[in-house]
Amino acid sequence: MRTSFIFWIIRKALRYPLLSFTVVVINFLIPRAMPGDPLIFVFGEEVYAIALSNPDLTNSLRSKYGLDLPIIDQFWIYLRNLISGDLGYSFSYGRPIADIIRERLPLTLIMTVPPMILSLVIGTILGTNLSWKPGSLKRIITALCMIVRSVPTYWSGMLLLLIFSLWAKWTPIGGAPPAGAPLSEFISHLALPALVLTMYNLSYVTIIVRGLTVEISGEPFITTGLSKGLNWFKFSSRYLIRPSLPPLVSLAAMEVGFAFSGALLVEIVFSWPGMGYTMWQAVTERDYPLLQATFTITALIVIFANALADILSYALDPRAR
Amino acid sequence: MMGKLNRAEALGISLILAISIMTVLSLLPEEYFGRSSAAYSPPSPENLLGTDDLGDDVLRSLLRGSRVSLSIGILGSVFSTLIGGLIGVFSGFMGGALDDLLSSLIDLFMILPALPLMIVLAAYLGPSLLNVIIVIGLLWWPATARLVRARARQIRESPFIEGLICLGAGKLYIILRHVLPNVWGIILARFVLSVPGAILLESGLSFIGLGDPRSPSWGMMLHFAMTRGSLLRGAWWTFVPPGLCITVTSLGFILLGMGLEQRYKLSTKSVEGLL
Repeated sequence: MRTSFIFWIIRKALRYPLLSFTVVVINFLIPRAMPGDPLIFVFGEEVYAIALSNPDLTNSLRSKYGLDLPIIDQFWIYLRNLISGDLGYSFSYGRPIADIIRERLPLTLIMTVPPMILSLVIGTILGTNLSWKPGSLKRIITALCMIVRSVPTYWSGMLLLLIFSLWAKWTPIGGAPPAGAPLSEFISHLALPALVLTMYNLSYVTIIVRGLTVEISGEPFITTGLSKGLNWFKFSSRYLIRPSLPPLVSLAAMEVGFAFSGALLVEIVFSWPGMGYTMWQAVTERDYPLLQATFTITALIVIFANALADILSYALDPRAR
Repeated sequence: MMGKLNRAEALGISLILAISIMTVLSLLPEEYFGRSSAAYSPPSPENLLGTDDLGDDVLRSLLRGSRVSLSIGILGSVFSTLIGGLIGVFSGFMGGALDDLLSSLIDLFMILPALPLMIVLAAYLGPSLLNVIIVIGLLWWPATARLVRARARQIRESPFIEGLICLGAGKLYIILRHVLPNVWGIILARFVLSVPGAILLESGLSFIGLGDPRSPSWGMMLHFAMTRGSLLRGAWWTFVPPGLCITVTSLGFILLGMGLEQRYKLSTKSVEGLL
């Protein structure tokens, strides 16, 4: 009982700091667990060969990362750099990684947040209605959700690009408009990726919300609500959606993870220079520090969103208070 | 023994069978495939699905890709279900501090965004089929573990287990002989439902350029279409078929998994875990 309680506290309160720490440790350990000189992973294989001919540079980097020190000291150096915002240096871009990410993270947020909000709103409406009103429409929408889940996001992106950009020439082929471009230009660039991500997230939200509503539909307060003779809008918002709000908030947080993973590959298709596109370039260029930094930041954002959702759903759930 | 197939199972199995036939057809000798080796020739009687930027027959790549995608999907799923099943059974049945520790671990891995971490791991490990399978297995188990754990906990509370303990049965014996057979249905359903996840992850990794170049999968065909310009040339026949195949395969396994859940009267939660 006692250990259970201690673990419960750890799970609830320390979960997110612990998770963030795990991400940092994983990131620290991966390059050091690989065979060979860890400096390979600072430069990438190609630059490494050239860099070896410059002992001053390699020695200064070795001492910067403390590669000749014991592993635990290396970790402190790593942690100190990370906390002070030094994410390392990208040799393929020739720039500090923190600068690259500062530029690109907002682009990913612009692309992922509107579809997330849209899919949450539409999915909640669809899901509650579906659970309550049986019929063939329900079956069709459920089947549609299954199909959308089976389609790789980047492939639907490619199809839309083919149809709307190459054939119909309605939307630009890719890339991001320059900063300060008119809003309409942003919208035309974002329309297709946002459509893909909305559909993808929507299928998930709809199915989960349907499950949530089915779960509570046997509760006595539903009967009370029904017997009041409210119209559908009032009934569903007060008696179906309101009680589902706490789990819905957690759902929204889980969606952040999905949305980021989904956006990752969609960004590549539309050459939208956000985090996913950067990750892709890092993979292509074997730019390991950049790859790790994009992963760290993405993971930390997802963890932060989950922590926020946990607090919010606690606040929204009267039973928890 | 299995009885009549329900509708979801039947539909799922037919889709999977259709894809398996593709795998068998990929063993046909070379002369059965298209003759033209001109780049970007559209579908014609000579090359049923046209050719790609290198003049390779798309149909042949598609059939060969089915071997890679299917085997990685299935092996990755076997691996992840094994890890998830073991962790779930032990965590749920043993209870106590071990359960606390393992379920914290499950929670941690549930939140961690899988795809970005897989990309990082695969980039370091280097492109090979085995590495892709390992990476998928290592990161795709938490949903399975959570469901199996819940079921194993239920079983632990049931009277016949208490009886066994009174009879002096060892824990390992109970797990192997009495708990495992009871979670078998859920493990089977989870295995089937993990396959589409594994296939989609493999194709995602290949799409980003981390697949094994020696055995190109459907995801890698899409990668080539993207990076070598077939997409921008509008050569739709090079990238529509592989994506369609991924979709059909995933859908087949999702339907089969849903059918199995109905058969074993499992909750729909497991479908949600997949999504």
